[in-house]
Amino acid sequence: MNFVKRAGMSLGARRSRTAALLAIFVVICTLLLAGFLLQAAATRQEAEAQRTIGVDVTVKQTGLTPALADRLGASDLVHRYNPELPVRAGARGFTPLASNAPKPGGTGAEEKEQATLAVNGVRDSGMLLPFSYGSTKITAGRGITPEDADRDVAMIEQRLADKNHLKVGDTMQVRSSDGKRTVPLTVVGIFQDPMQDPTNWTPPHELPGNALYVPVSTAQKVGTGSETVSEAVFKIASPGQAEQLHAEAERLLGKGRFDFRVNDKAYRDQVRPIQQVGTFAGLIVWVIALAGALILGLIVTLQIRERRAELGVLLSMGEKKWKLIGQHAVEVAAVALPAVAIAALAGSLAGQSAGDALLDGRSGKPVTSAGAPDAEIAPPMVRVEPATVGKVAGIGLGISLVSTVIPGIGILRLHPRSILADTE
Amino acid sequence: MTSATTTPPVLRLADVSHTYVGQRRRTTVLKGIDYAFERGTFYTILGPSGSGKTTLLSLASGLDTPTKGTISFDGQDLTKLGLGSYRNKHAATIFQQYNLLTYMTALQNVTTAMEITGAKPATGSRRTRALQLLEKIGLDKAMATRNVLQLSGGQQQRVAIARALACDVDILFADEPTGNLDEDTAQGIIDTFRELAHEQGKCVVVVTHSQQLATQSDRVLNLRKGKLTEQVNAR
Repeated sequence: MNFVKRAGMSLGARRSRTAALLAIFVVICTLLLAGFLLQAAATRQEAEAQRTIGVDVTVKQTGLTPALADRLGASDLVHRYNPELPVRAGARGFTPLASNAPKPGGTGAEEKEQATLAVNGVRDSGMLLPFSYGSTKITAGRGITPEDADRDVAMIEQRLADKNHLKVGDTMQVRSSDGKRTVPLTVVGIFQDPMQDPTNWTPPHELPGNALYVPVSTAQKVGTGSETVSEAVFKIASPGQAEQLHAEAERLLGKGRFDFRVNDKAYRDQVRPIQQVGTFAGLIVWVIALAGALILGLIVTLQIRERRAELGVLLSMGEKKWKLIGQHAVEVAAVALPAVAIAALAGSLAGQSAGDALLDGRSGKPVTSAGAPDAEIAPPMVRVEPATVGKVAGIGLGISLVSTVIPGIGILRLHPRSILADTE
Repeated sequence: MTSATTTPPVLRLADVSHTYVGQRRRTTVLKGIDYAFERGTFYTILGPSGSGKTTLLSLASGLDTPTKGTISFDGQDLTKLGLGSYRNKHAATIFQQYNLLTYMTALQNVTTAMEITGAKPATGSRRTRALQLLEKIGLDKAMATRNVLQLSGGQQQRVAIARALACDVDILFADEPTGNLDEDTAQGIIDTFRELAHEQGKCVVVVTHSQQLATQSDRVLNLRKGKLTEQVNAR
């Protein structure tokens, strides 16, 4: 192992050159690490964003039943889904809102008793656009969730609640549209629709205050039982999965017999910039790796050319060629490894703020599922993981080995006399 | 041409020629040289500048290969023995330009050569042996532990000599080893070469312009126009 000893002597004797090489290695390794960390953080944030934002696909079909919507919603592609089953119902034991303007040509009293309420059967009220965009806000309690299936619960509008002094936990009764059944509903939430009451006469079921949301099963009880889903919205991870979902919808609903619309605006607005940062980070890694290889290769090549005489002398003593290459490799590695350690330290200290600066502008904004607890993209997590440091070390050492071995082989294929003669 | 004695040669050059190929012309510096070097003999090679002395030394010491002919050590062709192995175990060279490792001290230069060639002193450590050799040629411990670039040309030449002596090889080659030395030191080096040849049975081959050195060698070889002739038995 005398070549390792020689490497130590050489590094010690050429302190200023060693320090310069270390500084260059630190810069290259830090940039490489930054690229990897940013790439990893962007990937994580993209996955998180896909999970929280996703792409909404709206399916409409005449005769689309809640059961068919459930079957499509059971697809592995679908993260969340929400069929809407609109029915009308009458109030029992409470007073629905009425238009302030007189009805032209009639009293409207008959309708007031029978179907004054617009009951919307939903599975996941958080997926409804007014709620996800935040225009309609829940002021008390909560929305309708998939866990409410088979429970007779309701989310009512603030104006109806105020008029009848209803609050979360109270029970109210609605009468089915045919007047044959009465369904008791527990109020689980109160929401506020920003839409003002119309100034001209409006049928009571069209007044914003008379809208209430219930689970689909409850809507089926309140309705006649033959109502169908007006539309169903399915949330999938990315636009690329829409085609697969379309194929599944064709299998379930029949080819060409349904309307299939993909709304990926939120995805494009939120996820694509993160993807672009990730792609950019990947590009950075490649550019730095190539530039680093060139810079280090040039430096080490120049050093090796300077050290031709040394190679010639050692060869003249019969030193093995692999040991000469080994000495140079050890010298470069002895600089590269501390550089990787310094880069890792710098990465763990400054990586988070760098990641925030590059990615934070893309996070924290309300997205289409606002109103649900996971409505925001989590801030980017920049973590220096051993695997990432290993990658940087591998690239750094790879660069140093290639830049040592190739020029070294170029010299060592010569006879010692030729090497020494060229240096004289 | 062969040597006059019948003892088996340690190194034999058979029909050795060497040609340098330039961009426009080829220059043949050695032409069909036959010679056998023996153990226990101190040779000097004389010749005018450009006669090919250094080339001959480089071929014989395994630093280069001839364009024609064979060189064998103890009857074995160097190309089969391996030039690296030959240089490592059997031959050492003192260069005219010293060729020291400039990031090391004089002592480290000597011990490094011993480590590379695997030379182990009969008694004591490599460091002790290296210090003894350096002292023998006039470099005390203070000088021995200085970086070689802090030494004068003559002192560096002595380090190069000590390095070659430390390798404990069969054949010692030297190219103008006393060129930068004062008379007393040069004589000390010549005495060392004679001692190596006559007491330790080594073969010592020295390229020189120095008649003083040549007259003290056992055989003087003359190289002119690419041909080698044994001029006189100097002793």
